[in-house]
Amino acid sequence: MARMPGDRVRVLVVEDSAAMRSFVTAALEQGGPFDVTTCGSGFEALRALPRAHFDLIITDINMPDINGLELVKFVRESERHRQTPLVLISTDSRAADRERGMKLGADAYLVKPFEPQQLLDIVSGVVKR
Amino acid sequence: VSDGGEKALQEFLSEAQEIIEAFNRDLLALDEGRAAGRFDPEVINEAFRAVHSLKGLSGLFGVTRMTNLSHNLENLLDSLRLGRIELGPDTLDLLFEAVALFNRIVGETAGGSGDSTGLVEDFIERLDRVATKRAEVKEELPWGGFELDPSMLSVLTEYEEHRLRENIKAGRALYRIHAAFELMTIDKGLDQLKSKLKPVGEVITYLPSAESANEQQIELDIVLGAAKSIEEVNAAVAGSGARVFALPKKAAAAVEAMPVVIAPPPPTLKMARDDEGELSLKSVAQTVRVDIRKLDHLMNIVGELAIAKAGFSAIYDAVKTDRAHKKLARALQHELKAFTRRLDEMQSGILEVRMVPLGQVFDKLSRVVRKISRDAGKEIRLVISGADTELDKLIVEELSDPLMHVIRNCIDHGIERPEVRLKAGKPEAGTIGISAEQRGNHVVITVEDDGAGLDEKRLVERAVERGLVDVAQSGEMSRRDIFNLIFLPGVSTKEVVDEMSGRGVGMDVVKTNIARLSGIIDVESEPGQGTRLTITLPITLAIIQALVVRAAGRTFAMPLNSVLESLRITRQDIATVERREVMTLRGQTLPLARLERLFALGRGEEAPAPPRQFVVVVGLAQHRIGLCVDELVGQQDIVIKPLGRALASVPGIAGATELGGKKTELVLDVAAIVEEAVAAPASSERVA
Repeated sequence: MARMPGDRVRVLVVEDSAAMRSFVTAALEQGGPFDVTTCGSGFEALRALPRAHFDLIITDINMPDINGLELVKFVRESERHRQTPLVLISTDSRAADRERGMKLGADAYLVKPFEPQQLLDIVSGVVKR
Repeated sequence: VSDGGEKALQEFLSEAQEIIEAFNRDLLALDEGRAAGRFDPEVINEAFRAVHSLKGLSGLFGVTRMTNLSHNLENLLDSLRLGRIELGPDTLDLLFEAVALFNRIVGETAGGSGDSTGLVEDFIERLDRVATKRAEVKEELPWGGFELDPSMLSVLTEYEEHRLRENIKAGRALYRIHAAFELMTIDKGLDQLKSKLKPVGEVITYLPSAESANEQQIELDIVLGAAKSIEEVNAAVAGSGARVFALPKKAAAAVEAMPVVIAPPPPTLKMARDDEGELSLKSVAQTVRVDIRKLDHLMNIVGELAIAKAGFSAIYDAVKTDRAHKKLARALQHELKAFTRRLDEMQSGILEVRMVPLGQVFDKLSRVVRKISRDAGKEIRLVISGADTELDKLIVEELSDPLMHVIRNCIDHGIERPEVRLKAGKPEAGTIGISAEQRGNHVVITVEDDGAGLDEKRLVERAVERGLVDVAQSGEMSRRDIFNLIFLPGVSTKEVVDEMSGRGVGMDVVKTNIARLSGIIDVESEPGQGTRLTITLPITLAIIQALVVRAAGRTFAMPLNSVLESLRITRQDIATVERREVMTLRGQTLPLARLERLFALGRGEEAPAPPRQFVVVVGLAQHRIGLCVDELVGQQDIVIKPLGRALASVPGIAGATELGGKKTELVLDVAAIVEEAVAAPASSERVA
């Protein structure tokens, strides 16, 4: 969908670590016109996704119960967000999981730990696309 | 560091601490499982996840040695959960060591001193040695004949895929369980379903479905591996509305996937939602982390309010006797009552927030027991109960050291060597029981062992050797007195300096620590059967209930939690033994002390003590004494404030408080008073 300049970008951040959530939220909010909604689990995301529109989804892969990969599949099959840019977050040792996520339709990934600027670079890359 | 940075760092530290504690619990569960010949893949996976989270977090905050440590541990745990290496005792030891190392790094990051970078490097080297012992990766099995949907396989993480293979390898059947959940209550609904499935098999993954018939529902497929028939799985989920399908095998004669139970989700799963169906996107996490100092501040304000309230009460008292203001007085009384009730609620609300379960300390103790018992060559069974009993966070923090010493003592001196135990007809493994329970405003923690018991003769000998008791006295001591000798400096310290309990740390230090928390410690013992220590602690120290008394024309407050009872006595009840006032209380001799003598407050020779007076029995650690006072004024909540420099060094005074009417009153330091009365029996005469 065409984004107008000056629009704010609605981001959904799914991450089970509270500190990581705060970090990503702070990096986005300080780095650009982002409105961040956070979810602490895959379930919360399942709950949030069908009832609001997001311009970007950022999710951790390794979460209990509903993992990030399942979320990618869910998002890609959903009516509302099948086109929404999706960024995965994982640690370097989980390359295999990351590949699976990209195959399922994620647009980019970030390897923990990362700097706020890296996050912003990746995000601006996928949101423009 | 900016304020925000400092806050973020604090958040990181507390989350890291929580994760480390969870990791430790996982390890304890693994250790227990290993001893029982069980292996729970879920626990290994949780441990993996814990370390994984630590790695991500520490990376963000630039705590490199924690990142390195968790990175290497993560590899090891990954190998463990993927079944590439086995979990042996050595590996488990290493993992426990990692917990200690993590805690150390957290301490350093929080501003403590030291740098464990070297330690971490050494540790990683040792980790590598274990990790390289790994078995060759086994030939990956095909899907055991199961016809698995590729779209299902595509969302499995590497670990989930491994578990799927393991279940197939173990010859279990695979089931797909289809359930629909209300969006609002999915967490709860799924938890219920999970707990039904847990006894029958292993949940391998959850597959949410994007196509749902109903906007308010989420449909979910659960893949389950189970050594049970479809009927049994069906029976397990009965009533949940879930449908069970067996995943078909190619070879088998096309088993039709058949829905067996078809029932609508029970209405209880539905929850009220607002008419638009517009649900809140706010995080459902219901907790916030708060710096305890902020709670202290709030508590101080409550204390100030309590003082203000006492002021109002005084005004009410003055007004109510005045007939002209009868109406006013009644209105004031009414408001005062409402105010008091709300203030009480607020106070207990804040106190509740400060409470944390003792389980936090108990977990640490289990780790210590494991290490010490192995070093001492003794097998110990640790039985914990009441871990959910709650105490003020600050007290819980202060408890771990004394409890650690007590446990060390149990293992080193209490529990006999295995061969000695067998000879005595006891089980080879010694048992240490730690239990906690709340009794009113106190928590009672009991530590007992089934060891040899205290050696009364030896205790007396040592006390005499050290000049703490003279020979004549020692002959008259009750058993209780003798047991209490272990709390005197130098008596419980073992001659042989061993690594753990030999560093001159004796039970006297334990007693001091407990006393500092206004706690009471008691010991009982039976030769050959064991020893029991009972520690009684107040639930909080933030605000205390005080007993207000008057003696020699002054008002004092004393912490109610040190007060065991108060009695009305007459002068005839007091006897003098060796120039010391005592009375008999339920068959026991209770030494008495007088505040006016302790603080040299003149009563004047011509004004003798009134014929009727009160004795307040106070306890500190194992000691009890009676304080003689003229009047019991009442009970009141107080916040203790530090004293000015002039009075700060006066022994026996803990601080000051306002009791309303803006008058500052002294708060007695019961600990110091008891110490003094017990240490120098004749000293109360000194200033008379």
